[in-house]
Amino acid sequence: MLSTETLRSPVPTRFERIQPWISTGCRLILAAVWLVAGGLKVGSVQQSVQAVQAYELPLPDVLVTLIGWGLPWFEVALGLLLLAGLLTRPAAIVSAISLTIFMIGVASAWARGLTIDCGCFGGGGQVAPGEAQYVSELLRDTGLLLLAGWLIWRPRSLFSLDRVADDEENS
Amino acid sequence: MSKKTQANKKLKKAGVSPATGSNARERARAQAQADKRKKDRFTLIVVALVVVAVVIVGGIAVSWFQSTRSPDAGPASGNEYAQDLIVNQPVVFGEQDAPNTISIYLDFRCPHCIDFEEEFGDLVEKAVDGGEWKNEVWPMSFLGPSSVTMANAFACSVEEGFGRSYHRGLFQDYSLEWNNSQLLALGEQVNGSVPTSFNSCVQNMGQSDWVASIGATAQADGVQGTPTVRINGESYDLGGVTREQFAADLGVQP
Repeated sequence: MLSTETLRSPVPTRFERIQPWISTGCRLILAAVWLVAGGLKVGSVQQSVQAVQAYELPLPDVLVTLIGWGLPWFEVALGLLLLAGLLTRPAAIVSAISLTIFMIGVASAWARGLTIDCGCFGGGGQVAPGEAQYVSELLRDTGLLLLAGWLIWRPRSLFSLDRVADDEENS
Repeated sequence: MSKKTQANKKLKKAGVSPATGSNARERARAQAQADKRKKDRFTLIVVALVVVAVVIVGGIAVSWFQSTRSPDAGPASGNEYAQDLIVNQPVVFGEQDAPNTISIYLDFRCPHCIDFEEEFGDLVEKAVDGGEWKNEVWPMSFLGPSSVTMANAFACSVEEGFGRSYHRGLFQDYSLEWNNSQLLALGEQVNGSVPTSFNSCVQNMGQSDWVASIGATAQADGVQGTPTVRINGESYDLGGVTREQFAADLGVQP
């Protein structure tokens, strides 16, 4: 039986052929970044709390502690979803929102004249004046934000559970 | 134009004969299949969301436990050196007339200080116990509120005469948040029981002036980060130093 895919366009365009591969690449890179970022932090609870404290955000202490405890696991969970390719678009949206919040945090630390490490991949806390790396941190997050953006636009990728479960894929 | 005729037209265009009675059944089956897939997908999404929730909530629960459980001090250090602390002057472990001095500037919350202590702490203790060295300890406190309370409790323990074991205990359990009850519990663990003066010193930040003076003096002396090690006043580069090298520099067995 013919699939609607072939009905729509008998010959896939070059874009249609390479798009799933690009999306797969974006998905896996984002997954790896989240898993590494979270994984490096889950083992050192206090450091993670300190990294959040270092931003000196106007939040209650309890909330700062909870963020320090929960954020690494949140990143791991997000990484697992992307790795499995499950709920790809929602995971990409959450990634983009998180990255935006991180960038606002880093930019605000910079603007307030703090000299801290972002604590993105473990570590964090104060660093010597002049050793803060805000520009490269923001550039890295911008790059990741682009990957997330692509994935929101074109979430369909190879080797994903979404594909297995997708009700439109083969009907 | 109805949906059906539209679909038939599409099929015709693709060279397939329009729907007849026989493949109406087929369509119904396809519809059932699609429904099942939809249901499977829904299940998968629910499972995914549950897994995500479990990971995050479980992670927070684990962190809570790791942070707030009672401390678990290792064996106490052998020799203790009680002393009355003087502002701007460090804690000194060891005999006053020991010929060599190793000064360690640390923050109880600094990750590299924890690494240093894990890797070299016992060698420093060994060197001090050998009588050739005394160990100046400068507990700085710039890494947040618990840095300060830990440095204060350490100072309290030094005055009570169990500072060396306490120092070791603080580093050993670095995953704790070290609230007051944990700081008090550590005192009891390393010393059996503690005098009430220790409790009030911890709870009322009795050594906060001394703690502040240590940070200021260290900074004035050009200490820019922790851990900083100075041997007989000369700065000692920790970069790439192996355990064997460090032991050799202190003249002890690794």
